[in-house]
Amino acid sequence: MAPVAKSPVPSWELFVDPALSAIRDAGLDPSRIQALHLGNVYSAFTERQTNIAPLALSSIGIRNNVPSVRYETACASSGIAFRQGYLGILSGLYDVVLVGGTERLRAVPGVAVQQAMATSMDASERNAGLTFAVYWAYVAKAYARKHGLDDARLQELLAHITVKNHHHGAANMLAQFRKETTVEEVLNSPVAASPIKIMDCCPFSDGAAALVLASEEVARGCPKPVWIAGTGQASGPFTVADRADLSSNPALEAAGKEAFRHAGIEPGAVDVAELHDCVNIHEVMCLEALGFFKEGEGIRSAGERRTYHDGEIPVNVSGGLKSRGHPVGATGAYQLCEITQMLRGEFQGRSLKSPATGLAACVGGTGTVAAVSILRREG
Amino acid sequence: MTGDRRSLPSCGRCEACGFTTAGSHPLCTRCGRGKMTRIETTPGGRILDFVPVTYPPENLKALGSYTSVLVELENGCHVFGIMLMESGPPEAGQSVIVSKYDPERQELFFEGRSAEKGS
Repeated sequence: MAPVAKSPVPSWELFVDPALSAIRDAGLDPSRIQALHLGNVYSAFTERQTNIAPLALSSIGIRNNVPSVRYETACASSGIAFRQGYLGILSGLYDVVLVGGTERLRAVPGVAVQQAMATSMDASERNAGLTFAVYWAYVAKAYARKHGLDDARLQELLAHITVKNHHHGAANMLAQFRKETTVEEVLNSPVAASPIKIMDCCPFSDGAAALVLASEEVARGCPKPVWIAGTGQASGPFTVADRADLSSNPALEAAGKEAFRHAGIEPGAVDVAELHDCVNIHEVMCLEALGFFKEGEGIRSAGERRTYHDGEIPVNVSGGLKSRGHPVGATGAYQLCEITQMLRGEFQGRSLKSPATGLAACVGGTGTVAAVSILRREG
Repeated sequence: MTGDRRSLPSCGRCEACGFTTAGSHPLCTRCGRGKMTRIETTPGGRILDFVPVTYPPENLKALGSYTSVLVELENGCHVFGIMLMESGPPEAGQSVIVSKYDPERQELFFEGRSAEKGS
């Protein structure tokens, strides 16, 4: 993983170090790589460069005519690149593939990034005044109505999630914001779209992360392999206005169910999770959609310290999108790298109780695409 | 605000499950089985929810602040639109009417029913 910081180099070059590091970490020669699956969303808008999968491959120095594909599914891009790489291994076509994501958003003005990101939602709704901040405000209001929370209580409970993720991220040396915050600081931050405040939202980030996936036979010869127990992916309705209940995410629920069925475990068997807290209300939706908490209980989880690193289900120990940062097309790959390190006991951050099973979930657009992966360590 | 009320978003209803939606889809996006039939769109509706927008996106910057509204049209379709803050914040359940729709730019504006009578 690259540090989540403003990158002086383009996204395809930013991917080089994480890729070589992942290959070294696997104890393999770069010539063993048989395919690249790369998540990236906005390079056409922010770097005026398309076709970046072969470009990244060339930048790494892998020139042996292997296939390379870029995946663009908004914020879920590298979660899905990971899953596609895994399916390639499962199919028997490949023994070793490189997967990951890369994004560079901070080389252009924030307005340009906002315009680029807006293209990930329905054009007619975008043109009719919907923005991502507004979408999350509708979601938060729907959740509050469903569970009888007034604005003040909703905002306070959400603030605890931001405080928790900053507490975690403060100890992660790769995080964009390595600093603690307080409930008061969150509540006093400017309103983005009521009831959502600026400190409820994650930043835009530059970053790149990579993993090597290998067949069981190859992996058994690699140091400290972590196993893929299950994956799931689903799509949701593209238009927001048509959804009967904005406080739930059917695509994420479906992807989660598929991943758990595939892994043959229940949510209670997960020891640590990295979830998509692009806005803190979405961490709540992830907690409930994936079965970690009952409906209406997820929002209290951080305030009750149940999702802290030393709690019953540690969530976003990396700092999550809010504190580690959100390099959109690379975020899913960061989550998977972090879970891998946590399972190996190698994560440089807040301490964990030796987790054996971890879950990563990323969601793109207005809940329109979701990828869930469950990893486990050996033994 | 006055505008062209002759243009309205197109809406369809599923022949199998009755689901209504804006836009043109050959098959129902909810049940996945039924054929969608185009239905008449009337300009009236009611606000289901709303969000005041402090930071308008680039395409709507000229408006300054506005309120995003989620409206159920009289034909059952749900659509997002823009309500200009001319007479205080809107309320859920409030009756509104399309004041302007630009099919090319897909900008959909609403105003309160009372405003319509006076325009």
